[in-house]
Amino acid sequence: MDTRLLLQGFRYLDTFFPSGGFAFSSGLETAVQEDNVRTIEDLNRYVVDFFRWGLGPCEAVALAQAYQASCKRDIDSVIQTDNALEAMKLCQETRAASRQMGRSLLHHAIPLEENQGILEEFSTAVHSGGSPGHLAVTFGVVFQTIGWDQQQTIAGFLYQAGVGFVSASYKLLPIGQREGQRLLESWGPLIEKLSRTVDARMPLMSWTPIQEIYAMRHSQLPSRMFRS
Amino acid sequence: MRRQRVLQAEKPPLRFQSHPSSDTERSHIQKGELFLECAKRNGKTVFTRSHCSYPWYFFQPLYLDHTGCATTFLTNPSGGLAGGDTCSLIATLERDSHVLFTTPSATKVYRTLEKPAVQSIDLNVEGNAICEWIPEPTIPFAGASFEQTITVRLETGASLILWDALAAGRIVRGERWQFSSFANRIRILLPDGRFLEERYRLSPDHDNPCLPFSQAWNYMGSFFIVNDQAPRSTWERVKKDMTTVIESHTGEILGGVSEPSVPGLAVKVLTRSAPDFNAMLERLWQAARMGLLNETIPVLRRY
Repeated sequence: MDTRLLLQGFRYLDTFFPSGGFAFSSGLETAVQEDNVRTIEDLNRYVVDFFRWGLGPCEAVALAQAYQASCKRDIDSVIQTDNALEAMKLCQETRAASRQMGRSLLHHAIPLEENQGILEEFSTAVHSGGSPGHLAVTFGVVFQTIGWDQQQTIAGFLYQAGVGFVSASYKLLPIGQREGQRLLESWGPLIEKLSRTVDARMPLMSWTPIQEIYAMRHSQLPSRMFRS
Repeated sequence: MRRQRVLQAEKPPLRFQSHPSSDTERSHIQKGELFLECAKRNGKTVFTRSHCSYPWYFFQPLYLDHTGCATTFLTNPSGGLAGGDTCSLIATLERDSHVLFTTPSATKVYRTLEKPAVQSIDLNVEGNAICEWIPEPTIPFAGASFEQTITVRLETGASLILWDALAAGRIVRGERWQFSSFANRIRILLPDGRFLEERYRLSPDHDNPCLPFSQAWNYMGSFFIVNDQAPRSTWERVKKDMTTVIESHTGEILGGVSEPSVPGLAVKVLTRSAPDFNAMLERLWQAARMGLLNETIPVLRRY
């Protein structure tokens, strides 16, 4: 891969990138405040569950579908996937977070490309209200445009989600940086497996009732560090 | 009566298709079909056309309150679904009609050897009609394989109150999360193209040996209320009421309410016990009915 494009992808994945992801906890703050995630083991189960039953079969599949559609310059299919992901996200907070992060990535990715093609079309659709602009779908289009392959893109997307959980847990739980790094390392094989096995032909599926409920309840918490 | 005869004469006969078993299928495989057309006549919803084939059976409308809502119990006299069974229901609720579909007991899915048991529900709800889909939970036995699709098409102004519930197994005998697979797809479609979808496939026996968080719970329910014409204030009020229902319940439950991608509310509930689950359904349903229809829930007297 071209080193410049590799670095460009790294920049989008970096915690310094202003996607706004640091402001959301995907229900983790509620789970911690309600005493259901107290230890590093609880956190690990919470996140692995989320990877296996939500991010993998739903978001990563949406990413793969958007990536494949982007390869074919098929904007209608990109929008179709974006709308399907919108319909699957039952929790308003989760939906809004995903849209905000997707739009932010789109906003920062657009000016750097000279021949934007489908990225430009997708951006127009999102800004005109024709497509929600969810993060996973935007990832698929942006990273396909900059030349990352699908597996790398999915791995990067899932890794970024994992980093988001670890980052949130530093604020919510008595977890140090060494434990955080150990967690990220332990999720590596699962991320690798998901990125390798996700198939764009699969339908979007999600089974994360616990995480969804905690995200739904987040706005009712008396005090919050993360956004609802 | 004359009008009804005219309507029937204008419409083609209801589709009836027998499904002879193929050589590879067992002789006891059931292919049930249920068709219903419902319309409002003289203040009451009546079934204008209907047809069902074994194992589907439905009760003639019961009128449990003053609203003219037709309540019907959908039954399966064979006791449950086995591998290879396919049951489909297609119902059309004409403009202004109101139907409450329910079941007298849980849908039991027996251990499956080869093909899954399949159930598909299609509900077409015309303008200003009200559809309530409140069945008892589905109980997949150990080794069971089940696929369900529920598709609801709502026209402008139509209302939907839909509950879908899953039990982790036969809890009392200690059978939890031992089914082979459980696939569920619920789609709620609006006339402007927006839609809501819940879709999952669980295979606790195979590639995912455990569901660490979900596994602690025995009953899972999804509750949806949708109407594309209700004002935002309605949803705010109902959301507040439902949140109070969830927060004030003293049993072991976990639940949340939020706004989905279509105008309405989505509720998720998990409980450990059946009494908590039933109590939660009753109170959520009450809040939905009061908020959307300004009516209390009927007493179903199942037991």
